[in-house]
Amino acid sequence: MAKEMFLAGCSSAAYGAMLSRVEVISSYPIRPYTGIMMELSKLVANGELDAEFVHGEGEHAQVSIAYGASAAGARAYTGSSGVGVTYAMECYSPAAGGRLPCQMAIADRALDPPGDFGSEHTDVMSARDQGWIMGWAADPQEVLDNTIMYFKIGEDARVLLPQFCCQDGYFVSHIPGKVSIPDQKAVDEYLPPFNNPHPLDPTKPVSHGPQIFPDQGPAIDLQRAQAFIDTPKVIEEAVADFNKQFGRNYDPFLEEYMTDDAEFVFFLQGGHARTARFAVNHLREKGVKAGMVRLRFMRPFPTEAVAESLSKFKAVGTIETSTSYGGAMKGGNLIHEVRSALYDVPNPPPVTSFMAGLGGEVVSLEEFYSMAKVLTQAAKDGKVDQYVYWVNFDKV
Amino acid sequence: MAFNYAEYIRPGKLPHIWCPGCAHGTVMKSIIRAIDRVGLEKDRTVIVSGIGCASRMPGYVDFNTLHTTHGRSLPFSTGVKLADPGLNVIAVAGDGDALAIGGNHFIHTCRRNIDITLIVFNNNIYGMTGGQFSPTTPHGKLASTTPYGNPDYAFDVVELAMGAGASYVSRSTAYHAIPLERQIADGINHKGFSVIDALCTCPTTYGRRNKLGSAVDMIGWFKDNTVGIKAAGKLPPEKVEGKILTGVFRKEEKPEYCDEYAKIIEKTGGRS
Repeated sequence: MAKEMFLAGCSSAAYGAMLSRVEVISSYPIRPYTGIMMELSKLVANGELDAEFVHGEGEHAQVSIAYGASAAGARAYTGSSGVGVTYAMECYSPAAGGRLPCQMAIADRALDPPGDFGSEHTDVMSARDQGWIMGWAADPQEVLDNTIMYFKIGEDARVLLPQFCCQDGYFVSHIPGKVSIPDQKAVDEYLPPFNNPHPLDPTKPVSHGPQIFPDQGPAIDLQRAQAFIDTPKVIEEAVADFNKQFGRNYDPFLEEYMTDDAEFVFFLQGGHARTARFAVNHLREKGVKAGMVRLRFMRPFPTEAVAESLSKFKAVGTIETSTSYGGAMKGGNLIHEVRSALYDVPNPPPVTSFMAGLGGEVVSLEEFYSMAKVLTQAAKDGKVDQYVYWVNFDKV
Repeated sequence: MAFNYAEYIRPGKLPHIWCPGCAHGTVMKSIIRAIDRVGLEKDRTVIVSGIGCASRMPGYVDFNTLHTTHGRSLPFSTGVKLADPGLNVIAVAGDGDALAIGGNHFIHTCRRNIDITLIVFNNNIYGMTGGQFSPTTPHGKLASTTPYGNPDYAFDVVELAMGAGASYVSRSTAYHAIPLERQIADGINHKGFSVIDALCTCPTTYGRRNKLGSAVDMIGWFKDNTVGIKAAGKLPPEKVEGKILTGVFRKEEKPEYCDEYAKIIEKTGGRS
């Protein structure tokens, strides 16, 4: 029987990893994700989880340990935050190219300078093109559920890709919520043991990560790209099975809130969705037809689902929570993906972006109301005046 | 006349972040007094740190200061020193910062023998992140990630520095603040890479979990459990057994990196 606990996102991730029966865990302390490892070290030490727990000498070593464990056939789990995520950058492509479906829990955090502890998505968004599956949870329940689902998706023989299982630092990682903890037996039915098709095995030696010649590179790149093309179908199946097995109601790619008759929507990822829902409710009370669309997977980016959803509205505002300095739109990253997804849609809605939720700042209700004014005008005019608004600095 | 600390402190940066009973402030005092003792010019002195409790120290003192990424106080310091060898460069790091994530930089800076003074604030734990075991957490001790005891064995900072080739190596404690001050001054005056292992305490995340008593008890422990290396040679073995040795372990003249670099520039007729 499932039981209910009151858990913050860090503990929830640890329980998700335990229920997934992870076999090798590699840790290194950095706030805020480190709470996951403190919880897991206790679960291992108390015999509740039969796993090897290794403390690396840095994040680079941490991800290398997870790589090695996964190559040897174990279900491997690691994690980090902020500069820890970027310090391990060298290891991400080898894990993805090696098709090793280890999982890295991310409780995001602003990058230096000057040493900010707050939530911001830029850390792991910087690694979005390394070949890892990636998406944000919006609350502790979804953190636990995604942890289990991501292993199911990543370990599928059609996929074999590592996963960044992300949650907002502090807003999700450290704010407790009610979490339904599924029964171990039900999780075992959903998630079979990891079966690495090419494990390192002394009785049947194989070679991982050998040096190759330049002409062999593109073929391997194409295989990795093809895996991402095949992954959305696997996500749909894995989410549908999860919903059935555990009585949840996740859409595979997008959470839509009050979108049926919405004129404009806020488009975002992660925990700020909780404030966005309140903002939409309040705006509706004032007669403003606002809605929210929350992205559940950044990679693979669900291009078709996004195009289908967002083409229904008269204006779209992405809430960036990450930076893309000097990028095509000179603001964040989401707008690039969204505008690309809408490019071939006839009469696409105008899209603008809001730089908000950076450096650990809460995206407040007032900020949502200000953004709503911009989007109301854009819906009326059928165009946007600018592509980037720095909330609280620009004319917003 | 009482020592004027105010001359070296940035009052706007106080209060500091250290917990009550933390010994980092004592080590900071020793560093300030050592700099004063040597008579370094403030504007020609750079203090560099990585990440962690110890690495907050440069923020509080009125020199040129550089707060960098985790484990990297030494490579950043190396860049500063090479760009302007005339600067006095002092690096500070915690035990996790210096020896885990920055362990590679530590040994290579020792090997290179560049004229930098490193003070390791060695309190046996990652304090800032909640008491995870570090490379100097003793075997068997409790940490938030080793609830039944640490299976790893600790680095000995002094032996590691000597093995890697540092030309000045010493150890003192937060209890022995005056000898610590003398060692830091000695290290600054020494031409080459100097490593000072400054044993200090974390009552909050290490002492409490390991039942080591109050902050004062923990400082007192250093008094009862250390022996100076000069005295150790004259004592019967049973008086030295199990004690931590303190003092200057190595002080040797050895070619310094910036000097050697300048020689190559001169030899090849280049411009420095």
